[in-house]
Amino acid sequence: MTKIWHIIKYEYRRHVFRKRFLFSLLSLPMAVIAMILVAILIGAFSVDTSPVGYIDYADVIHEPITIEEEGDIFNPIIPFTAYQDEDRAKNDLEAEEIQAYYVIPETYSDSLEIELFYLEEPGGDVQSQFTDLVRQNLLASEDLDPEVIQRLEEGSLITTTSLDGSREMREDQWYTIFTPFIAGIMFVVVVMTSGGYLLQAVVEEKENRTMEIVITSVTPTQLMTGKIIGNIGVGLTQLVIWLIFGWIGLRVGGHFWPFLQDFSISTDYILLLLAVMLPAFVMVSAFMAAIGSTMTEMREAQQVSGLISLPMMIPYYISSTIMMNPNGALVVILSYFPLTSPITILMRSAFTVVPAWELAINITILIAFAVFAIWFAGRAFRMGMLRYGKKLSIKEIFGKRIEK
Amino acid sequence: MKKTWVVFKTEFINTVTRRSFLLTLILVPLVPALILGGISLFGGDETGDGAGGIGAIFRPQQTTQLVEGYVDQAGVIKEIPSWVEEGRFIAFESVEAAQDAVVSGEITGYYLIRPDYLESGAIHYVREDFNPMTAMETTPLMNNVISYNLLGGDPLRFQTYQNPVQVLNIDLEPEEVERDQSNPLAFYIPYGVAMLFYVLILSSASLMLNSVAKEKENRVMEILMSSVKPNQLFTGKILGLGMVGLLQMVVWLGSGLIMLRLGGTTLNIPPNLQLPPEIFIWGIIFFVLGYLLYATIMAGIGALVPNLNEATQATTIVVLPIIIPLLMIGVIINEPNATLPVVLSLIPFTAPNTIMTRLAAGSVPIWQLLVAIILMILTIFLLIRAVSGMFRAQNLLTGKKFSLGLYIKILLGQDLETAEEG
Repeated sequence: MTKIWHIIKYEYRRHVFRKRFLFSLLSLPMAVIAMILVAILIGAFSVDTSPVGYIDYADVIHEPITIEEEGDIFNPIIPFTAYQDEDRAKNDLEAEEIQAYYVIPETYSDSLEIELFYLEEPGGDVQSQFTDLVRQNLLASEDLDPEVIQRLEEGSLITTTSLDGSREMREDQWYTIFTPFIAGIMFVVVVMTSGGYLLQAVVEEKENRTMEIVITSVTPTQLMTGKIIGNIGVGLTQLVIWLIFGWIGLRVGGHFWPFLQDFSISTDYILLLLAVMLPAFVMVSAFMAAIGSTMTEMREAQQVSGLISLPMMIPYYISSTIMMNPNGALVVILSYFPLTSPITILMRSAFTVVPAWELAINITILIAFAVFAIWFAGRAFRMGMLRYGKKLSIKEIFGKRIEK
Repeated sequence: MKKTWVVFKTEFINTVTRRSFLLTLILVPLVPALILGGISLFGGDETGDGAGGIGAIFRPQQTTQLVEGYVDQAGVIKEIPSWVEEGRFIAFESVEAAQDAVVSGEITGYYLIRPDYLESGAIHYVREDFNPMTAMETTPLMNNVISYNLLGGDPLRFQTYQNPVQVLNIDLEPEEVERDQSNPLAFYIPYGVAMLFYVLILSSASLMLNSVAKEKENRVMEILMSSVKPNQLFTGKILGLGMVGLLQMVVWLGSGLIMLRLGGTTLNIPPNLQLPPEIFIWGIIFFVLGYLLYATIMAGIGALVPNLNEATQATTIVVLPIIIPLLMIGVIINEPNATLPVVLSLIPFTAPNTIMTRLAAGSVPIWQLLVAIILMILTIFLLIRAVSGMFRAQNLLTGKKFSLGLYIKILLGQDLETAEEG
């Protein structure tokens, strides 16, 4: 037992107390911040907030500005200015004082047709905000209850609820649906990186023959258990630190953008996350250890490990299908196949209520596969550990009995 | 010359016959083909209304008519307008009745319009499968029914409210026909080409690094040096591995083009988004140039690093310029002829990727292509001269640690010893 402990400690230390670990730890928050910055920059550059003119021959627009909301960088408010004649508007357009101008002809009330003049087509914001402006003015001229008019202008606020009422999402807080999504991505990144560390640890020791010395004082099972636990520990450290980062980010950001405080994860989902990810963690680690001990070179080992990591990422490539059609045949099949199931399960249950029996079967398959992976890794490890120059084939691992 | 040929042959045959190489060569085009096939099999739109194809995976599958209920506690809905399909909405007296109807499968969900609807606008939308993403597609109809009733059930008034204006666009400075930017494929096809090119150049250039660093690490280099001149080794390696990369690129890009052609009809790719066939020829030219550029740099690193591990770390610094076009890919695709993409496509280090993306997104003026090619050839010429100086027995046999400063100094023509001292 103390020997396993030694190995765990060694594996943990050799990754965590390294400059590179700090690097990979910081890279995710940095990437998130960079992405937000790029999004803000693109938003700031691509949106033109210069005014738009209009010439109102039909006498429709009586109250020029009714929108009183605060605009932000993603939903800028475009000012509309009235012009008396088209020539002046055209001059201003050519002088680039306005980005476009509308002409509402006298025949408007019959045909509803208006014209938009521009040099370069304005963005969708202009069109929708002008339509809103006209709609508000039309509504104001109807003889309706002011309460009804206000409701028509603001629209309804729909809260989607599951049948038992356990889950709900307000229409204007749609972004909260991505919380579990982000948590899932974080977990997968952690699983992959710590799997990669494990692979590296095994191949490196094999390559530089340290394995031969280590094995004189520890049994293979102890070595492998220690390595797997140690690397899972590294992964968990990474995850915990990221979660703390995320929590602080939401707290600090919540002061500036109140909508950030809407993000939360339910306890049910955390339980599911753990139930799915622990076996997935063990499964990937075991396979990585198996690959590491059957290959003789780092480069080859990395290529082969793609066979495990690529299928795991498939659900992300088809995430739009999973979002819109979480109970489709393809998605259900993916949630049964052990390599694709971790992410598929997490994504599916974020977007729909998956029946409990189905989840139970999925997780059972995953656990069974994880157990198989450990067995497989154990065999591969004992047989391939001290073998150089020649790769271990799958047939050998399953076929031959291990001599004591 | 004969020795160069031997090195060339060994490198080419050794790499190509490796099983992992063959696997990636075949699997990379095969996997997306299978995924596309899978999507059209499982997730596709089966209503056959012609709007299917790849766009269908963004929409939910709906083969039967949707029936939903509503419980109107606010007394808003007086009638269901005639333009809503018969039986689409069923009125329920109480929440319990609606709940029962959902459980029995009569309806898939119901709307609960709260008594204070006019003040707060609050509606609860209860769905059996929850899925808020699909909910966003079904709720607008209910919203319309409510607005219709709030407007007093006047169809004309409702129509004016829905579409108060019909805008006629008049462009005072019309340009030539542009691509349909609203189609998601207008972005994804050039994006795919950019990624492919990135992977191709980088993977074949790092083959070079690996082969040099590996031979250095396991001391094969010492034996080789006794019979081959460093320059012959360098030329043979760069040509041999270049052929490998070219083979990979022809297979990948070719199968990509074929896939787009064949899939073009089933995937509903509009003709103006198809890749032009010339892209194949330019692709080969820019691949060869990009490969030579990066492989030369990699060879230089390979000559200086003591082992493979350090080689991989050193590459991360060198590949930064090739990542820049990928970071700015949004700008390049949306405005292929803006200043930034043009500048990027004239800088030799970012040129191959940028130009390929631009070619996939639109047309590139021929003078830019030619200038880019000439600039790249010049850079490659200078680099090869510098690196072949680096490829000397003295450097190849050292076990010195790699540093970027050292690399640049030697690149500028200093000896290893003087570079170390300075």
